[in-house]
Amino acid sequence: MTESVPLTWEEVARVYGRKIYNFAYRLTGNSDDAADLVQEVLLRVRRGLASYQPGSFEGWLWRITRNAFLDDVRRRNRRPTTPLPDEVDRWSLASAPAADTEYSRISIGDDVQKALLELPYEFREAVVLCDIVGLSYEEIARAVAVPVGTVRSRIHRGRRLLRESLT
Amino acid sequence: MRRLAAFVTALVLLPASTAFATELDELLEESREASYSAEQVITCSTPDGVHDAVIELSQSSGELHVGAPVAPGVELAAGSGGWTLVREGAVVSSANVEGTGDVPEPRYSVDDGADTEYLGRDAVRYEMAGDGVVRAELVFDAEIGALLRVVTFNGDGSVYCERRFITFDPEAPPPGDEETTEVVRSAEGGVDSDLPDTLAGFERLDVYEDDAGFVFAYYSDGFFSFAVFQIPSLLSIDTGSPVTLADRVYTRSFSPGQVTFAWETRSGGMAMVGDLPPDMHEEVLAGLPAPQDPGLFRRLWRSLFG
Amino acid sequence: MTHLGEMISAYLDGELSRPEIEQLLIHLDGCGRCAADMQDAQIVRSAVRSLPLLELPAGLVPEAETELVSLHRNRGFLVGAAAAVVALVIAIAAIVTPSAATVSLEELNSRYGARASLDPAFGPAKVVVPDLAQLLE
Repeated sequence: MTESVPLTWEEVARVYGRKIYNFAYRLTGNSDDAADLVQEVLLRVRRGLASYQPGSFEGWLWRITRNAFLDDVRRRNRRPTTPLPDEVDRWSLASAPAADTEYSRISIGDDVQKALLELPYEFREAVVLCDIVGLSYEEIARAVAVPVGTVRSRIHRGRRLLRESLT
Repeated sequence: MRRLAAFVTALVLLPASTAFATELDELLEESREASYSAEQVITCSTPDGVHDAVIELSQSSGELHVGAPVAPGVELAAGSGGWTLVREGAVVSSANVEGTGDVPEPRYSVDDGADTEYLGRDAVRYEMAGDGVVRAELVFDAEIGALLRVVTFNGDGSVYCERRFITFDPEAPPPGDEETTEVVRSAEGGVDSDLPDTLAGFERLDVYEDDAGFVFAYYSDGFFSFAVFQIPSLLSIDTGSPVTLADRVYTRSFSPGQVTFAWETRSGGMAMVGDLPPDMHEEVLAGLPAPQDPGLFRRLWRSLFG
Repeated sequence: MTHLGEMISAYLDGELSRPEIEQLLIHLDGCGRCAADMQDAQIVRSAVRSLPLLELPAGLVPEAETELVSLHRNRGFLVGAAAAVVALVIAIAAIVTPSAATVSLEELNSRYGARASLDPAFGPAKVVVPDLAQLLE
């Protein structure tokens, strides 16, 4: 399948902005953080486009997105750079759950979002890239820099954990 | 997709349980060995109203064949652990189990019996009682032992069901078709269960699990019986209406001679199916896992897939 | 018996090769546990995929109009699969789609009736009458 690569960052913003926003939102549950991420990614794309080597544009884009996301998380927590992803887990990327919410009245979408936020980071990221962003395992593997087998395993385990939290 | 298990050439005739714990058992055993054909009316007074049916019965060699005059083409064959329902030659549902042969503690006994007459034949009438309450009247044919009439009672003496023959022909019915019978579901016994060993005067005799993941336990008190199902999927039975018993809400439906309760728990659907009179229902249900909110996951299921 | 495990997710995401799909379907045919896992995975996957795709907050990107381009490729079931595989897929779909998991009264009756036929009281007193109303529909 041939891709026509967006050549300007405005085009990137137009075509991918919403996906980037949703990627961040589903990972964090926080719309402000998600908005910040969109800005940051677009900035990096703008800077990087000049030196972009034609290849898989989306793979490149999502790698940028993911790295920007994690950089942002690290910065917020004011910690020195540490290896992913265990550290990221403990940083509790989820926003605080709404207090005093009657669980039975929350819409199903909110419950799924809450369950997503309970997943360990690497599983959550894999599930979001697959089911929200719509990447193939190969593309996720490139974005996240792990083998395809690892992607498959993380997605499966992530879904199993979701199954349990949703019971 | 149902996996087809082995074919059997006819329902295998297993020797019936010969543990005559009581005279009642002996009478019932003899009744099972009779050969006859008959029309039976079943009338039950339930909290939902009256449910009745007319069926054609023929029995020989421990097998019952049932036809329904209101539903031509529908036939049921049951006996020796098998149950096959056919509609116009196609199997609608079928199951096969092996019992363990356990017999519950005798709960009921019969009196000495009184000579009577029924449908122009000599008959003997017994009262079956247990726990100080008369639970059934049984009228057996004096000549071949067939059970011509059965009345079952609630604890307060009101009638629950009456099953009576309105025509009766003690000639051996013509042999059934010896065609092959597909056994669609075969259940294995000896399965572990969390369900209670005894419940409201009933004893758990067998637990089965089949390849569809249905687990069911069979309870009997020596006369009445019920099965408790645990099903790993959504339980959606569209007949029935909500009823509150033992401070819990169930979906209940009655059919002639039988009640079905259905409810959901966190681990799946449950059902109780049996011929026990209504005054026993609450105590039985109270001893079984309570209905629970099936949880978000199952609600998700419904909302995604209707 | 080894179970399907993560192949289930890979199958749902259209990431298996045709021979792998055939193997999976053959295993599913006889394995209730994997069929149940498949159902669960399908539900969870659908639940996440059904999350609404939120609109970008206003002013975040220069153009007011943010046209959504679907980035989902055609994944899921192979297109143009061999007839045998297609037949298996349809058959297995009957197992894994949750609607197939709802239970009819007759399924309970048949099992109860089968065991009741072994009961000493079995006979005219205990014959389990099929649900004629349902049958006659």
